[in-house]
Amino acid sequence: MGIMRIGHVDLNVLNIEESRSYYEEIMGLTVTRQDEDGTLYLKCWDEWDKYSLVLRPSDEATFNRVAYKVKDDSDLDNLKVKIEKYGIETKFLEAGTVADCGRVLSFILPSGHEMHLYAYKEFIGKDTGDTNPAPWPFKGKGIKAHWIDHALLMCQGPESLMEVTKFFIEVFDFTLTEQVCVGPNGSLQAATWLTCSSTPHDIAFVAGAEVGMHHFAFFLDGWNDILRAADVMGMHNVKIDVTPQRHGITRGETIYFFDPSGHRLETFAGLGYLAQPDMPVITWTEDELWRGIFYHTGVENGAFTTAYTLNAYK
Amino acid sequence: MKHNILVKNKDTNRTCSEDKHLMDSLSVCADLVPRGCHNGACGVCKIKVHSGEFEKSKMNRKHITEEEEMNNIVLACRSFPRDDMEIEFIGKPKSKIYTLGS
Repeated sequence: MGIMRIGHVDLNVLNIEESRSYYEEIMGLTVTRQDEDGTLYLKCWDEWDKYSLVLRPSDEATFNRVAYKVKDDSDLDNLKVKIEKYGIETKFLEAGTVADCGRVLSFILPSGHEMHLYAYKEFIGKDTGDTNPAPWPFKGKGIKAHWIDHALLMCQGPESLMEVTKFFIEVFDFTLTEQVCVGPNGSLQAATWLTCSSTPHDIAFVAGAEVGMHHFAFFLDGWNDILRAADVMGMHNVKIDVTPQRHGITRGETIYFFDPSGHRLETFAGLGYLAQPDMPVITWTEDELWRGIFYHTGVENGAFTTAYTLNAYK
Repeated sequence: MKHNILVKNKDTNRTCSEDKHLMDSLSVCADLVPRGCHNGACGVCKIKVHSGEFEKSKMNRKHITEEEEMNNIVLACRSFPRDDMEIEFIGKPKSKIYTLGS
């Protein structure tokens, strides 16, 4: 089985109290753990593991790492062999090194991003419980995001992007769902979307000038929730990058906006489509690239290619 | 309180409020400022403050060194005017590495 889904995103923030207030009051997450150094761990109401977001007080607003959850502990041993055979060093962090997690397999992706894999994280449960549950929690704040859905990482140039894409397909058995192809005869991938589940993407990569995180996304049910989320953002003077829109790529209904440290977030709604390993790869050509990203206008919008969070480690 | 902000590299003035950072006030004008995250992470709004008092919230050290901060090189999105100011957007040197859509 191997990797099931995104487990958590680990970021540095400039003002931890502002971040706490933002993610609790506006996004509707709950703080489930706080360390002595101020680090916060948060979860969404529809998630069952203890946390999906780690915020560390820092002098930088940067990206530390992303973690994915595997199904069985033995998957970690199998993946360690596969990753090292590919030529990448790995190390095991003992259980408890990463807060409330079992042992963690740590390594640096071909794109330069740090990645963690784990099989166990402390269980808390959904806010609605698991016996005769309500469809959504009556209590709760703001946008009431369901779960963290995916992350989009920035790679330094197409070669690095193509390498990490190949790595995810060959080592992690991810399926390439969509790609933007550029250059002579479309021979270079400039962006890729990959899945390990039945959603259009569990991770995505875009080629840019520097290594970093473009955004991570919170899942919402549908278009009405996107409109309501944008209203909540307006009420709180949240900096919106791109107002409610549809992506051609993934067919997602979307808002791009920024957190108090300038990390780009997305609210992503809808199924998109049923992604399966035998689905034909969807290709977007260089001339229709922006139609793929912002379907209605078909033009560059906001700060999509200029503004993103940089990697904390080089 | 409001103050007059001169953006030297665009030769344009705009009135800015004390309780908004410079990016929130200046981005209302089309093409006056670079498009960025407005909160520190992206660093595209790096400015040199040539004159005028202002208050700052914490800078992102990934983009602004302590030395730069002492020399009034700051992020516009972390700066709040307390006086008429003259500022200049520095901008990043354009990378030679291919960026999606470039």
